[in-house]
Amino acid sequence: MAIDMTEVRQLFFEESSENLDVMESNLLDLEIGPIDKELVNSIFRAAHSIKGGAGIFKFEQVVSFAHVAETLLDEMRKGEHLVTQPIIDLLLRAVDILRMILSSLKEHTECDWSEVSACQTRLKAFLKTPLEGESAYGELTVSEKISPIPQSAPVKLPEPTSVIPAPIISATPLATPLPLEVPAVTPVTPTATSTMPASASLPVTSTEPTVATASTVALVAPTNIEGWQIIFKPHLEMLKTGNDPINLFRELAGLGALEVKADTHQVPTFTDLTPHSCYLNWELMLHANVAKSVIEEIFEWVENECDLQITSLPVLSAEDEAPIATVPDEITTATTTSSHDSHDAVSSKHSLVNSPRVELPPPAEGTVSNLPSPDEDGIGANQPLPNAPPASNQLRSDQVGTKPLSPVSPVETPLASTIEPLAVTSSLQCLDPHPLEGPISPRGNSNQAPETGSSIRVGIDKVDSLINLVGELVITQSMLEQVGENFDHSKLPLLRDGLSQLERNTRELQESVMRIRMLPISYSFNRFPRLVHDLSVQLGKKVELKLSGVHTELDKTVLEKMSDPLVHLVRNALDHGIEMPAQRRATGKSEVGLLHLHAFHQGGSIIIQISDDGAGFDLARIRDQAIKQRLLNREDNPTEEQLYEFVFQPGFSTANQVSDLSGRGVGMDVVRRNIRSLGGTIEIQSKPGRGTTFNIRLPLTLAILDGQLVRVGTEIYILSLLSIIESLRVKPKLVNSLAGKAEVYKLRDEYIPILRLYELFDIVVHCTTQLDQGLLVIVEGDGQKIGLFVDELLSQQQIVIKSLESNFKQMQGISGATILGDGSVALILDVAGLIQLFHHKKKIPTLRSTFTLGVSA
Amino acid sequence: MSQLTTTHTTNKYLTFVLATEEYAVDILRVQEIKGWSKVTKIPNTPHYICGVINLRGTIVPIVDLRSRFGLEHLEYGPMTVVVVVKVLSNAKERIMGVVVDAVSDVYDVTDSDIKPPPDFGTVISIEFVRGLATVEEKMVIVLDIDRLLNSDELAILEHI
Repeated sequence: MAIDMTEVRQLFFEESSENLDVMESNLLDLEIGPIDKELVNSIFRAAHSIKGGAGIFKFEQVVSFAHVAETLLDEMRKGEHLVTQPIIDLLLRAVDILRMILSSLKEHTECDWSEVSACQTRLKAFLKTPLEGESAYGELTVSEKISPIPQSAPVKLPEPTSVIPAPIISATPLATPLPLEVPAVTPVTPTATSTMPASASLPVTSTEPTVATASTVALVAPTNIEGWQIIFKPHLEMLKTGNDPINLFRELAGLGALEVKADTHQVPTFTDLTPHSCYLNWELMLHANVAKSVIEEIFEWVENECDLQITSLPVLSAEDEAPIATVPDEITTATTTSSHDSHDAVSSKHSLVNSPRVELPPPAEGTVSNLPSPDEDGIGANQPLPNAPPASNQLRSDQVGTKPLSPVSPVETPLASTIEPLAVTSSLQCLDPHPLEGPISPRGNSNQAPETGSSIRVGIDKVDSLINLVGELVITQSMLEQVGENFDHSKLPLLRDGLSQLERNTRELQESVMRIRMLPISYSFNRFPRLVHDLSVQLGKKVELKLSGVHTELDKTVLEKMSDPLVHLVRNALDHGIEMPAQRRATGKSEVGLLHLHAFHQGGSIIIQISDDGAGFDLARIRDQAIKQRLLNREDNPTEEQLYEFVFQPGFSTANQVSDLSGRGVGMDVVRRNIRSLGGTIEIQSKPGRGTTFNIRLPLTLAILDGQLVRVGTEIYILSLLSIIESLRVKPKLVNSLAGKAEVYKLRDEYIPILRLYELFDIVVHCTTQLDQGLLVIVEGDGQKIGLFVDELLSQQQIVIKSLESNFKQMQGISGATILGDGSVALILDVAGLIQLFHHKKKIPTLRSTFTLGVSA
Repeated sequence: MSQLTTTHTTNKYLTFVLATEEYAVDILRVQEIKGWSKVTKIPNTPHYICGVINLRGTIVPIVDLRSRFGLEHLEYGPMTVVVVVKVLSNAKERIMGVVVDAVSDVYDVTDSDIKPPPDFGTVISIEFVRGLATVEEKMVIVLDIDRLLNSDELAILEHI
């Protein structure tokens, strides 16, 4: 291919991800009841763009999946559906699925196709199909009402690949995993083969169910299908005119179920084969109630290049469809007896199913090269299987433990057979122990994936301002150049002006370059409506989410690293903070809890507030728990702040019971660690009964910091100004020795350990070893204070952080490096790391003699 | 890279001198050759890591090959040469500087002419020697720089 598609591909993925975000946020804005046309339109457009883009790149799975979703949206747009919670949930699920497929395509990883087809099947079930679809839909909602946690259904779909395997998984609750695996494989195949023609064709129209499942075909067949038999014999030259039979078949399949039988008799031996000639003839069976003219229209373009014969079929012959119609019955009955039997039964059925079906012939080279080979679908459907067994095990063990599912009774009518599996599916979902993993994990993974080629979209105004600034810089430069020519003392003021202008230009340029990396926090906030929606449904709480300050900008890296802590805090607020509606009513609060995410600038920092109006922290319980965990003595009287400090201790939890969401005591410590690693802080404000507010303070950017240069011997190190509390000259009488090893300095009412940097860093040349001749810089890191002993303080300046890791490796106690004005490199100290290193060194006797030298002095 | 290939392709090698020995590296790995500039020491690193320098805005570590091979230390001066090489480690390309006595020559060496080094047991570690080649009647030690600058010894540092 002449054009490098990778870039375009990248663009497609980025746009799709934006479109998915649009879909998601608009879906969440949709209100139950009549359709808001504008919103549905924009969701539809987003889905349509994804489909279109995917078509260009031949991501067939995306196209077919997006198409079904789009069809449903189209029906909604036409007012054929009311907005109901199940529809919204299903569409949200579809968004997740699309995201999953796209991310797997992007990263060339395998994706769980079973989930895809499960969701696709459910989407199809919602489509306004005549009668059958409608009743299936009705049944579906009913079954969801029955299930224990009604609306969690869409949160995570179970593994079954299609409607047919579902009863197998559910109906063999006690089967051993191994045999279960086998039947799961086999039933996929009938579906795969039967849908194959349709998926080769891709577009599935809204009015026709096509062959969503084998049983649907069976349902439709006896009632209203009047098919067409098309004998299509292209002339040898047809391909040369640019007509590709596959396109015709696609269009045909768009009309209804299509069977394609190829006649390969005329294909010559390989040596005689001309790739540009079409040797194949086809016999097509179209099971669709359409006018002959419609079919003729499709063949209009090739009319003169083929022999075409279109004859109407009588009502479908029973032998063609009957075996398929019975398949679900057979499976269900068989599986209720024993899984081994079921396997046999299924596979024998499988062969039965296969025999009347006609598979596409192996495509001759050049003829139908882009035709998805028949195997593709089969493989696609089978691939997720390695994942399937553990998942279904989980389901089963849960079933056994909590509520054994009544075995699916053998069904009497084909109609029931479509409905029943769906009902089973949705009740199974509720038993899933990790309902949230579904929608969240794909995105979480994509965040964690190494972002080698990540990119930012930059507003054109930012780029314009950059160009302006560079223009000014050029002017300043030429002005300075003029000053430089024939320089004499009279030009000194001019030079000074020029230099100050240069300084201003540089600073502005730097600021606006940094601004390019700044993204509005809405990138992170926007995921919360969905999260809150899902969680509140799951927890049975009513929560209103308020977002403000969404345009506050912060560095992309900070933003990315903050998203997990934010998610955690939001989950906590929902799970522990906000009470159940009844409880809220009892305390005189509105039933609907309020969760407020607020971001704003303050000084050189960004403040993110997460506040809820829930129960607040129970200080007494924190105290009890702390005493229980021996973090606190019974007679201690800690302040409120000290108590909150326990919340951040690893393994500390006051939750009475561990839920899926939280309560294990892991989390808050991680949250704080993440925030600290970004140079930020987190504070808690809480009033019992009134709610809790978390204040997160973050630096604007990670790439630049305000640094204090310090000298130790001949080396210059940099400390972040934020970490410095104070610096002082040492009064020797305030230095105390501890166990002969460590020194502490009495600072007012605190004892602060002294860390002699020259010792830790093994610097022997020209450094001050007498405490009273140097300076003690009191720094804080990871909640600990320590006094760094240095020779002297130099200037303070803005430091551009350079990575030490990229060419070397991470060093403990050093967070990076920078380049000083004279071009030399200076290391930036990481206080928390230094403290760890210090403790480490104190414990382990060092081999280098210099270390022990100063310690005991 | 670490395995001897049996193909007869000819590659260019840059050779440099350490004490009396001549070492060769694949010339495609050499980014540039520069003079000695002041390094910033990194605390708690092995003696053969001199420190880091600023190479046009990136921080590049400098390894002293003499101390790496346990040879006598020479004072750094205007004549000291730093060969900046690209090292592959964990599928990531890193830039590192290697301090050598002097750069010698560029030779064409056919892969098949690189003979595996004899086994010295534990006396001399030869893991980062790719082989020995004879060029113009001289023995040249062909280095495997990916191993040299990324061997276990360097990895031990991670735990310090």
